[in-house]
Amino acid sequence: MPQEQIDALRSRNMELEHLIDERTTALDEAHRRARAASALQASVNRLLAEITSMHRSEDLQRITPLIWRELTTLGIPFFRCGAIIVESSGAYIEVYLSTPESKPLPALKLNYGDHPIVQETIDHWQRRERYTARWDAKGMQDWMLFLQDRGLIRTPERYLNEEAPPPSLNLHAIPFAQGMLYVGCVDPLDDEGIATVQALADTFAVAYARYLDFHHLEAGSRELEQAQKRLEQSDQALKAIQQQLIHAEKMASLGEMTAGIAHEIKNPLNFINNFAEVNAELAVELQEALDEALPPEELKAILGDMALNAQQIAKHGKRADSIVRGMMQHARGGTGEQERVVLNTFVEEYLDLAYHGMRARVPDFNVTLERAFGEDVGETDIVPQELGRVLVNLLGNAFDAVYSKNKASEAPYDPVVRVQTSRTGDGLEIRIADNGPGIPQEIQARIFEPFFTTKPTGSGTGLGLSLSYDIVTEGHGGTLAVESAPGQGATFIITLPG
Amino acid sequence: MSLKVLVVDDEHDVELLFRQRFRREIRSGEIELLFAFSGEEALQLLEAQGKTDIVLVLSDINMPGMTGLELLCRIKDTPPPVPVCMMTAYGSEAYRKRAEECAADGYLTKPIDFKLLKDNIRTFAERPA
Repeated sequence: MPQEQIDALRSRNMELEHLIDERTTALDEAHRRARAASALQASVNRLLAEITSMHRSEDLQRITPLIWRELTTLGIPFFRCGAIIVESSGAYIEVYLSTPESKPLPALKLNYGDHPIVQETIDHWQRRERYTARWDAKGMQDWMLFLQDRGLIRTPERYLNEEAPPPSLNLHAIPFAQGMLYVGCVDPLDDEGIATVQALADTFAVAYARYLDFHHLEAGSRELEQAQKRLEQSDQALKAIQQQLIHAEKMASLGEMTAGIAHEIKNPLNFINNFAEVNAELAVELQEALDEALPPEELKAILGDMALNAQQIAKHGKRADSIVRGMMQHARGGTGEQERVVLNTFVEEYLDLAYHGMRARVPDFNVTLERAFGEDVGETDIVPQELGRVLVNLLGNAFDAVYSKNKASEAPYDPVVRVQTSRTGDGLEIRIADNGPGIPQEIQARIFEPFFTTKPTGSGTGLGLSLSYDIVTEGHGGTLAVESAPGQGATFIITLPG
Repeated sequence: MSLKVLVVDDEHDVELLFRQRFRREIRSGEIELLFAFSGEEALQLLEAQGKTDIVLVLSDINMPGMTGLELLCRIKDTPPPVPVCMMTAYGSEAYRKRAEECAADGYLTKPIDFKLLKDNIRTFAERPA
């Protein structure tokens, strides 16, 4: 073979070998890259798996050391790394650094204007740009002095955990949604290294977002707890006030009955005084008659009158006595025990009381009272003070109704309140009917609600009917209902068992 | 000729009291007491008696059915004018005003001062008819 051909072949061979080397290197590089990429992917996957297991804001503390460990696993050597959280308007940053052994350093809070490096960090973050810088030993020293000066650290030695700082430090801050992931290394990171940190930063962003969500949720549920506590407290206060109002209502109804009762007592006292005075005069007359030796018929006539008068005194004395006894029962609230009463007599008594109470309260009040007492009603067991209060309440409402209608109407109007008792198949019924304005349907539905009233503010507590309802239903096992239509008056119906 | 006085009150014991208080005047024949226990009964009595005979009507205000004030207005509506005095336990302004509106001739609060009442009766009796 000619020498030229041999040289050409040799040359060709060397080229081919060269090419093969290049290709092999490129392939190795590609393999390496692929392995690195899959290692990174694996790291990210591991972190994401941990992140999904977060269910409390506290769990962030579990995640952050894992991130620093992945850095190490992926072959990124660092002196310090950590998370820099930037306040959303860029006013300040919070720096959470860690050693490679995942030992956390004390957190730092630095304002925008505190130091140029803080400014740079924030400015870059706002542009979502990476920030890299290099510190020599002096730079590091300055930084330590700055922190000490601000009182943010005690001594550089303690801050550095007794480690000797490296002669120079390369700072890398990689942006993510809420801040910067910081890695400080002896040598600067190459592009691959930075890309790795970026991937981890984006993963950290997910964890941090979750942390914030939980944080808000927990704050929200704490607020809810507090709100619930406040609600309970105001609920208790409300219940206490309700009790007071119920008491006030009872006192008010007692006051109303007292007005009627006072009038009731004046009456018999009147008679007692008058008849006693007359008897005193008759005694003088008798004395004179004796002195004048008038005939026995005369003396007997005077004595007869005196006897009649004395009977009157006794009779009205007993009346006053029973009125006072009744009033004391009301004031005491009674024993709450049931007593046997003749129902018609009982109803009549409270009708009188309510009537006189109304007259005392409203001087120009007038009404025609109709009584329809069933003959077979007889006796029954009730709690007199309680049911009496109910009757006074219902009658009071009936009187108010006809009184208001009377005042409002131009046409001649004959106010009538009718009280009826009867014995039904399985019990007793008391009906109190008025020919007042009547009650609209919407109001009927609410009329027994506590505190519901159609009267102006200050006029009653609105508890009368709800208390009456409770007394009849819970206290006596009966029912209380209303029948009415506007323009057709109203009838309240009490039924009692037995 | 007795001075006739009509007393209207729903309480029956009022009759007993008045008869005792006026026993001397009744015995001497100076005064004759008539009693009605409701407004309606009073009007019927006035019809039957002839109003000119009656010197004074004395009426309670608080009665079931027709009140004393209604009775007052009814009496004053139909001549001849019989003097009417109201008697009441309630000394309230509202009642007094209502009584004045229908030209009541007097307003007495219970307990009644019987001496004063007797003087009043004699005064009414001396009025020209």
